[in-house]
Amino acid sequence: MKRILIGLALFSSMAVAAPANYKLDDTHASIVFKANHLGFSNVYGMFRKVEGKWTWDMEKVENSNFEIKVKADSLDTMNAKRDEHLKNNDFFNVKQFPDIILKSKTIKKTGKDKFNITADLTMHGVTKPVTFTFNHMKTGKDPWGKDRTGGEGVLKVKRTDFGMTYMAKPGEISDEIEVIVSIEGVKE
Amino acid sequence: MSPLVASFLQSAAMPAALVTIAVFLTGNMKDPLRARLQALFLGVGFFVGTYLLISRMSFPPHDALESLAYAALACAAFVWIFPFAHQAPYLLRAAIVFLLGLLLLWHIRDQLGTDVAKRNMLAFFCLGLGTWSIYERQAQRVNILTLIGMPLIAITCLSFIMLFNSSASFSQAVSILCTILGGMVAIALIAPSRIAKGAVVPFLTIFPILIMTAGNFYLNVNPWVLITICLPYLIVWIRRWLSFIPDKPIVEFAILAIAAGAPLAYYMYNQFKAAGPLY
Repeated sequence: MKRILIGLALFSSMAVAAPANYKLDDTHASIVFKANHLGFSNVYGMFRKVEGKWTWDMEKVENSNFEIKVKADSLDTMNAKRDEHLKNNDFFNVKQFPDIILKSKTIKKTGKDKFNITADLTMHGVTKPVTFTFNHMKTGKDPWGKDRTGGEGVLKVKRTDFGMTYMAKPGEISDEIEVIVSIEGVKE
Repeated sequence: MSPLVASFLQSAAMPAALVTIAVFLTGNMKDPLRARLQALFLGVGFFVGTYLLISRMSFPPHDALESLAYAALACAAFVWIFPFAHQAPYLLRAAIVFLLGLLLLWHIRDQLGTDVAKRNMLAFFCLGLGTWSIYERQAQRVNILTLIGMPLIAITCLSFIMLFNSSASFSQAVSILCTILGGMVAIALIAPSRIAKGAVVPFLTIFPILIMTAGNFYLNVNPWVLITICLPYLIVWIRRWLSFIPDKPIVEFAILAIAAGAPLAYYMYNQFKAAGPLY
């Protein structure tokens, strides 16, 4: 009986979900940002090219990690002239700094499907820590049988912290930019 | 006050006014100290103006704009060592042009391996070195008003080209140089002997060409557009063949400025039309 119990205990420990590796599904990833224009309205834009991967450990969330890389050149605000301006050295300077990288440092569970994440954001050649809440939405099989997970977080980034100082005074183009990171990953 | 006007007053007008006063006050000194100090005022004026414009300045420079600010100091340092025009050996000047280019393009060094990039680097190297050498020689042959005023036309066009290519901060940085040189033009009008030619030549030649290089490599401005706006330099170069133009400073400058400025104004109008509305 004792041996059976030990066996069951061993089996149950093996059955605990192991850390899973996911690759970002770029067809279902949205990196959207919002900037206030001279106090009149908000302008929205997005990055069309994003890649990334993460390891997710549901049992020990603190062991999870991720890295998301965005191609700054893929910026799109639905106005070609404005995009050109944003890509130039007044803002993203994509020629010199082609990638925007978000790399996790610490992940803590704060509630059901809610995680507090501190990550290093590298943008415009400057790396600074950012903290945000990530809402896990769903993990499971998609209609084609692939294991999928996904969720969304909202970052608030001060662009002057990253050296983007052009027209960043109060009443100009907002210093604080809201960035929505909505991602899905497919289990590798 | 409009933020653009406030930014101009803070980053361009204020440093330019201070540089103009400093150059005017040191104008009675003897060379080489006068040339050294005036070059220092010009270099520091541009450096401070750029700092006030972008509200940051790191060392080593973080991007092209910061590199340009340091390049202005490097030009001042060059004059400090060689205060008399035509004093530095040609090969040394070539090395300086190369080093300034390196300072500017270091940030995107991994993108310079293409044939087009190599060709353009060579073109701007020759343009910078050629313009600098020609201008040092011409500095002894034309009036100081023409010497400063003609490049100012080209640099003003450069400021517009930067704006048409969606870089307000590059355009505003060029306007800092324009405003400082505008102050020099004012001195050239009222007291031309107070300006040391050796001090201003690098800021009229190699430095604007360096900014043009930035326009090509960082903003993808067509190099032919940039070469075209060098027309005022060409006219100063061929000045001695235009012997029918009087030597009186204002008359000489007015005629040469019209000869260079009129076609460039039309050219800039076409560039504006091609760029489309600035939003």
